Amino acid sequence: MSEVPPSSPAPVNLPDDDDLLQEFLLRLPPLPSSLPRASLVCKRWRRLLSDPHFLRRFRAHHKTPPQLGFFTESFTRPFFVPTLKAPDSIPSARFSLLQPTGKSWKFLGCRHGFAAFLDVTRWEAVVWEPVTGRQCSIAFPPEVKFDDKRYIFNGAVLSSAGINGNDNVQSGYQLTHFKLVLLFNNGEENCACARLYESESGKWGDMSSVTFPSRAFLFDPGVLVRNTVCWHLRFGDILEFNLDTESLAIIQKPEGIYFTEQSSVRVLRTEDGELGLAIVSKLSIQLWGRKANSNGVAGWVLQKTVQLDHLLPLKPEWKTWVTRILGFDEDSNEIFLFTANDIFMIQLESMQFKELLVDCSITEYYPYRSFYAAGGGGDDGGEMLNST
Amino acid sequence: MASAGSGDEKAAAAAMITLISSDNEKFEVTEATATLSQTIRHMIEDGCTDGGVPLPNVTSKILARVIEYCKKHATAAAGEEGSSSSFSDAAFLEVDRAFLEELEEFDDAFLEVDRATLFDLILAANYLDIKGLLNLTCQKVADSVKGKTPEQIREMYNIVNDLTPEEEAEIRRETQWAFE
Repeated sequence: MSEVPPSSPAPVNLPDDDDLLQEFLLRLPPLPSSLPRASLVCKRWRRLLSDPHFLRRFRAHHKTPPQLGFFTESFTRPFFVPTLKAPDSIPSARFSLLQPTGKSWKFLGCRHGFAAFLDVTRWEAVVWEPVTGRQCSIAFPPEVKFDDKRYIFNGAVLSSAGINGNDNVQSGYQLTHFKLVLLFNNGEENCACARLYESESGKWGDMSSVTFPSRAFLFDPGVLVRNTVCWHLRFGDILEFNLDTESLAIIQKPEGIYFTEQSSVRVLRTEDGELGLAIVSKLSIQLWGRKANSNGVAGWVLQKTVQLDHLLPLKPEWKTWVTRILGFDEDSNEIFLFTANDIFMIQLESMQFKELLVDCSITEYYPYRSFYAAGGGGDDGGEMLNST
Repeated sequence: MASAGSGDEKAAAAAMITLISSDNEKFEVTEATATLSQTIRHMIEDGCTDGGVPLPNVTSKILARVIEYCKKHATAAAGEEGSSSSFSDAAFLEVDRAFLEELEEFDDAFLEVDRATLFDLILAANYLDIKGLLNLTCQKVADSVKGKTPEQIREMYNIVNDLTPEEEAEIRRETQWAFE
């Protein structure tokens, strides 16, 4: 009762108008507990909150969905770790796969409410929408060769509606259609191939390939930058897949980039939506961004160098330890950084950080963002197309 | 009027519109102020504002508040336009920020009303189609239920729980974590 000021103790009826009620409900916080809680008020609220039109407006109003937590790769399955506090902390079990993975698999990360992984045992890609539990398996195209070490075995999922870096209005539920980029090796040495799958047509596009001068690794998840997905290749070089032309290209690393054996590199999407790179060497982080010069030619620009031991409260006894970037959130421009036996989330524009009280043995963080509708993540009733 | 500024002086020469409340009170406002309402803008465009605009759904008490809001926001908009040509970028940003801060303070103070008045403002903003005011007032209502339990929300707004025990149990079962 302390919430209600003594001057206005009497309850007041809300305007009796569905449109206006929707206007209020639309402005509830986008946190996952918001809509389930409100739907428990009465039948009318419940009906309005599960209206597909309302859910579309709710997404559009809030634009970027909240980060609910992150996925990690446990030995047997993708595992969700919530980072929001109660009552918004969604238990791991809520986001567990209906059909478990095969013995050997690789997680590709999350985007626009989807998560995806490559199931090497079953020879298929799996796109999964954790809030609705929908799962869709897509058999690999015939060119894919078994790459024992999986040097070149990666990919990325995105919504068909929001391929522009900043257009994530569609994020959340009711993502019926998606695109999946598959990066693979076709048996030729030092060659990366890509094909784009579109759920709308249920077909793989043409194959594009690119060769490297030496062995390349593609371990980190891809980053969506405008109409391209970019992966870190090696020592700062970047492999780029253009979603419009469905072609691969290599972007050379910045000149004068500083590396040591222990350096950790991540592809970024900068605050202004451009391609970026973060390089951590010991306790210093360099941030690079692509900028067009006066002739319209894109080149690398060093944006800033930050001493991590000046920025972060590091435990002195751990300072000599290896520092690694363990993940990147495209939507908030935050990196997950392991240093001095702690994990920090750092916003790269403001350099504001917070310490994450999580298991330090995790080697990769895949941040997961989504809205959450009343009644089990529900949606507009659209089916995720299951085309194998 | 404490908030009179350069925007008002400039607009003084502009066309005036008369708004008539449900209790027949007349309010003279500038066209810039009145056209924050899309409803009135359309009436002006259609040339049907001669002899005043009757607003049978809005009382004089509420109309006075709505006009206060529109005046402030129209002045801010005019001030921004005026400053963009005569200041350097940096100075413009500075002015811009000052305007925004002032507007925010105004909006906060404007919302210091009881819930009955708030709902009347919402109905007026909806009827007059004033996007900014509708957003501001509806956000205030949404904020009032933030973090509240369903029971507290029902109590605040006189809502009868007509969900069957089965329906309630179903919602709670599906999203048990949201009620912890």
